[in-house]
Amino acid sequence: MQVKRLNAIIGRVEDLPTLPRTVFRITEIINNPKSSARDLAGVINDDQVLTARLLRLVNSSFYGFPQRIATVNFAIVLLGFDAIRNLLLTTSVFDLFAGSDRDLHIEREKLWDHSLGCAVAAKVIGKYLRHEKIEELFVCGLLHDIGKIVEMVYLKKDYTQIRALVHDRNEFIVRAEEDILGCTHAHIGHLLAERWNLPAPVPQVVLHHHTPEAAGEFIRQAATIHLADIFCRALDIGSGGDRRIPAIKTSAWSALGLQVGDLDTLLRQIEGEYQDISSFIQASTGPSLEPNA
Amino acid sequence: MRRLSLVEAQPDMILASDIVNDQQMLLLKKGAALNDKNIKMLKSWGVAVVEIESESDSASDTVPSDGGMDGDDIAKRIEERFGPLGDDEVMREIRRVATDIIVNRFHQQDAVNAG
Ligand SMILES: [Fe+2]
Ligand SMILES: [Fe+2]
Repeated sequence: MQVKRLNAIIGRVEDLPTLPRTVFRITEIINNPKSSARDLAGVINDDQVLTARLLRLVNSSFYGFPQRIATVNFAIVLLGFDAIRNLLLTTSVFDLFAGSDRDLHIEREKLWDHSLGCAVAAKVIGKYLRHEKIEELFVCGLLHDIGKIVEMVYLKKDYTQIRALVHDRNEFIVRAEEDILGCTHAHIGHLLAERWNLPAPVPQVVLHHHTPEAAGEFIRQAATIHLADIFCRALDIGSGGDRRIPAIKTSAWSALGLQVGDLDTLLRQIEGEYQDISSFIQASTGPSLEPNA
Repeated sequence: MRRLSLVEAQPDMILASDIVNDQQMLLLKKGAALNDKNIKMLKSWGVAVVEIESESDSASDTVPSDGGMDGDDIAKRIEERFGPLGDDEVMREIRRVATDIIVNRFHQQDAVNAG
């Protein structure tokens, strides 16, 4: 990839999408071992939109708490820091995918399903492998293809060409991106994750989710997202814009240390957990075997 | 087609139009059958009104949403998306389990559509 080319592209994207300030502050608070539930509640309460959403989500049937949860403080006590952070990050990222203009609406929606699916899959794989930081894997899964949103929203013309190439040649989106942009959504997403000051390993994993062998010390995390992406393609959960399902890289498979016999359990668990979470965040749009028209 | 307030909506009614939320995100597609779960979901998104197909619209000759596809067709499509796998045991197992899950999902959807 030519760095010059990537910079030229990013130069065209004047106002990269931002995360709400609150999400930053929340990340800071959660990363600080000295903070309390009250500190966290204070920050969330300052943001009326997030507060309303959080309370609506925790009171939804997904969590099934028998009594109404009326305060942010109570929600934090019940769900814990990490779950709250994930919920808020998920709804904030959801806004980016939803966007306001109707162009590429269906693509964005399918990409959202794919991203949420990968987040769930990464969490399931991480739990199975007893990875210590499962929530971090969820975030990596949710954001791994965020570069595609930048293409859809800020590089619409290029994206339309990329989509046409993918369709005509039935090739992987990264190939078409190399042809049209000279870089891929992994490079663009990496840049965005860095601008957002997301903590390691998120930017590195975004950069290497298609090349886990190059992820260095984060090879296990990158391999997890690489496999999660393959799982979601195989299970037909949303679509990242291309139809084909790549084979897992040998280095990624050995870095994970999974056995062939583990796959059945993992895939069925992902299917179950995804159906649960998506029916509460957004309706599943039914089984589609045609990821992209 | 008739417009209903969401509180009047019943399971098995068929949507006559897409339902989107405030952010224009698609929540449920036209043609989808309502059930307890998705009615709850629509409520949680603050949807107030839905458009439902009236009896005469949904004549018995309506083609099911799957267009008559069966398990074999699904398996064939999945196989095509994976491409040749040779003796890659890992990918063959992923394909086997995924095909099983998707065919199952499809039959469940069928059962819902049939009421
Ligand atoms: Fe990707
Ligand atoms: Fe992906």
